[in-house]
Amino acid sequence: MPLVDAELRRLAEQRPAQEKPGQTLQATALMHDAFIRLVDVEKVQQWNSRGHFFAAAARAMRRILVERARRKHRLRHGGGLHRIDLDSLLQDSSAADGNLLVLDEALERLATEVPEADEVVKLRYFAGLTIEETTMTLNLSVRTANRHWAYARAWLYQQLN
Amino acid sequence: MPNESLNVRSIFDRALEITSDAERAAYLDEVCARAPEIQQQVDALLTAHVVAGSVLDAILRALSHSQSDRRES
Repeated sequence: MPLVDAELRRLAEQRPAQEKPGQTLQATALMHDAFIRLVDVEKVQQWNSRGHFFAAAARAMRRILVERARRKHRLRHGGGLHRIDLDSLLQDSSAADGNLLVLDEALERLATEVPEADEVVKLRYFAGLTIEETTMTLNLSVRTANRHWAYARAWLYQQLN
Repeated sequence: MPNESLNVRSIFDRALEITSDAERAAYLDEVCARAPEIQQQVDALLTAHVVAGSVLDAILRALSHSQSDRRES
């Protein structure tokens, strides 16, 4: 898997650079978990394009984030989703897990209703790609990618409120 | 319904490309003159657009903070 390995390492190295120093460990650990998941399958995966690979990597990372959030949320609140509380979001990071679960449900609906915008969101939020990298991966123009990005975020925000 | 949401989407896309507030309002008035319900949906999306980025970013940022907190504790 030399290609996959190199791509993941590149992703893992560039992501922390955009974030605060304390998050480096977390981002690298997430990449590692995602990598294990991508390669830990019975049959050999066939990546037929960069887009295919990044989409799979983004899916794996999102699943890991959601599973972690779900586990922690269950421990803390005894399960059950609630509406996002924006005030607590800004003050209390522990609200984030419940919020991610609500966001995950909204993303499921986005994937069904606006699949082309959903692809952009997955790559930007969950694989940490820049808009330029996203356009190359999905073979879109910058204008189209930006349009999908703007629409998807506004759409998601509405769903969360 | 699919036609209507497509319409909302294309009006939203176009409206975002208009930088002048006055021109955008004029465009929306014109294109939605006979469809107040579509104008309402587009307005809601445009309002969401203004705050959407920071809120969605905050969710994921807060999430990664809480994960690194856990890792350190």
